[in-house]
Amino acid sequence: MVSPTPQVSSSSEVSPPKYQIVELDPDTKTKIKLYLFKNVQNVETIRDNIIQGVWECSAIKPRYIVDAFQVAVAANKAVLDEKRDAMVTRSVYSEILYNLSPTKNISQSLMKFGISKDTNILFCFLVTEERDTSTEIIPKIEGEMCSMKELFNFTSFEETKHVYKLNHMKEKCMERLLDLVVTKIATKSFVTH
Amino acid sequence: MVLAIGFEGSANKLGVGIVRDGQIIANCRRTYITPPGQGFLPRETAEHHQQKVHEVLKEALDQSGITPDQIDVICYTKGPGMGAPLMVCAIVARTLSLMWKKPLLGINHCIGHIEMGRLITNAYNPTVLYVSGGNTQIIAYDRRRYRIFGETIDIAVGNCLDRFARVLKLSNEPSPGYNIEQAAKRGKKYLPLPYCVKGMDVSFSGILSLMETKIDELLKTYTPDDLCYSLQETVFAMLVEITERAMAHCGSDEVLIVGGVGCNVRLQEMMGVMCKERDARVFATDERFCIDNGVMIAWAGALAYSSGTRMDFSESYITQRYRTDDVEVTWRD
Amino acid sequence: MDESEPQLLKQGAEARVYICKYLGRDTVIKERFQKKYRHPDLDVEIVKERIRNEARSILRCKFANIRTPALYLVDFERRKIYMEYLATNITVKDFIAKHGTANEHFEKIAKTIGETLRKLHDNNIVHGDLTTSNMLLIPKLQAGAEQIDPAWLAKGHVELVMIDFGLSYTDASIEDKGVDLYVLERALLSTHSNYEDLFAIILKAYVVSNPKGNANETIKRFEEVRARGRKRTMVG
Repeated sequence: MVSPTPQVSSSSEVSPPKYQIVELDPDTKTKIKLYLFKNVQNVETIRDNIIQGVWECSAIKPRYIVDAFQVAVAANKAVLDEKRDAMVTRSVYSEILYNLSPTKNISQSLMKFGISKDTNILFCFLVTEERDTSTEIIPKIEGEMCSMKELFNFTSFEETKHVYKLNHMKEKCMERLLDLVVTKIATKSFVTH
Repeated sequence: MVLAIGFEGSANKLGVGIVRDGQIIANCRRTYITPPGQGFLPRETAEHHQQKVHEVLKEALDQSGITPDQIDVICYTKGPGMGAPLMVCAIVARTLSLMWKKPLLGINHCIGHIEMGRLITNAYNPTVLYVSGGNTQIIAYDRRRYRIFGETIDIAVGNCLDRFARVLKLSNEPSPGYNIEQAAKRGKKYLPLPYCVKGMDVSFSGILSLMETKIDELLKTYTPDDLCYSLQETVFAMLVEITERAMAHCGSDEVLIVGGVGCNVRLQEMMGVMCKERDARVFATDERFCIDNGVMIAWAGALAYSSGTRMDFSESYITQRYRTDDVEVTWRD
Repeated sequence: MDESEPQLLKQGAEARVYICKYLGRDTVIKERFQKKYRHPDLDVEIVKERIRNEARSILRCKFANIRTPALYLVDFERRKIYMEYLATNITVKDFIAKHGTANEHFEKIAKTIGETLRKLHDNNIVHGDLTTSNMLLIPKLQAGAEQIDPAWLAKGHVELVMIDFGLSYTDASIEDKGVDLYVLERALLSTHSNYEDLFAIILKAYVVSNPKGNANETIKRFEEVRARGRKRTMVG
């Protein structure tokens, strides 16, 4: 029914790579590359660089991220909307944060899903044949890289439920939560709930 | 070989038709036409039928060249329809049955349309769209019944068109629907109207009431031609859509359009486009057979009679409400 | 499954349904293609509205604890909805055709349908095209189980999923709900005419499943709608 998200493995490296790749809509020829970090020391530098547009990536609070797929759905819409000149925010990377958020308030969305003083960060890069900014940015992150498999350790079920206003959910089922969250993201632009 | 005569008068058409073994040998008709802005009422319509029935009958006998003694069965419309006009034909049929000493058979009007359409077009087992002033149904044959898969949940499509013609004060000559069709050909500007499909059912009352209440305002931006065009495009799209749904449901590749609205060329055209896309065929007839007539009653009667259906004289009443699926189809497998 | 090329799963009257890998998952793509018989403006409007209604109702259902496919992308430009592919499923229509009403789980399933419809209506969602083809049975994972039991259907471990919300709308009135039930009754009559008690069981479960709300009003309206159909004079 729901297939497990593929974990990228490469035989050439000694330890398996810890990032995860998801291919977006074929028309965009873009993939997302996700890295998870904990105990990040240079949060301010990261923030400043992203806000000034020097670093091209989204820095996401992993607390409300149930699965890499959730980011894929938000990023996919952001990249398609960029192509169609239909973005709500100024850059495709802020658009990802905006899409993740259930509210239409831009600054609230960026605050909620972006990082402020958080030391746990989920990085999302948009990668194409020609361009992969992660190679230059990742070495500059001063923190501990974790496997994407550990994402669930960073996720708060209750807080995610609260952020997405899913208080009707009774059972603690991650799969159901993901189902609701991605559906909310997919319908955000035309459904007010 | 069955020779049947049929009398139809359930609405404002009075028809007498004669068929001999599937050959139409007479098809005569008169239409009660009301002034612009007015619909037909039961009492006046019945009076019209009473006044015309002698001449139409005589015309039919002359046209066919038969004499009454050759007739096997006298058929009349039992329903559905308006009470008083139905009664006129029933009484005439009963009288003739006694006079000529011939058996009598009451026929369902809708079945008449379907069988007439199958006879004329040679459609084998079609999904039937039956559209007229009083009916809007999607019908398919299944286990000895013409089953209704979809229908209007309020007014009939023909009723919607007729009443809109009245709003615009279009002539009822030759028919309001015909005049809407002609006006629609000149229309250019499309006005979006409520589009209401529920499952395989449709609803037209929303469109009509919008048109009725906003007509003065609408006429400031749209010509009457534009409005006729928009109305047709919308209601016919709804009909084609539910027809296609029914076809998909039944796995059918034939559509037969019957009933007065069925002679609308734009409806036939739209149905044709839909059918082409799904490799199906559309069958329709022109105004001689689409519009209520006596032949359809004679032919449906001939079919029923040949397959053994009989009716006692005491049962020769009429019924204003008579559903298509009430009739047991004895003449098909 | 080919990773890139969508495979046609079903060609319906209004939509083509494909499956393919999308965002790394098995995905159903429902494309509402252009219908050439209707005016282009009307066509665009209808499709936009149906995509919107479908997506909105699917989300609303989730809030009402009614299982629906998860949505991955709603693309008005391409006239497509991308959603979760439920690999293991059987439509209620096929279930009845295969197993008949003598099946031990039939009554339970019919009841679940009634309860689900009641939940829909209590949340003011009207499906608009209730048929047994638009109801799927999928395996329900049993507590503690890691994998789907291959005998899920025989054991009655099923969950009901509602699909095809294109003709649906939210903020439904009593009349809309009555018509919704009428549409279902008609669909059952034409699809399962040999199982006459099916609708009765569904309707009973619909009424009793929530003692609080007022189903009687809806049932009354449903009966009125049905009577209207039977009594229509049908002139002409």
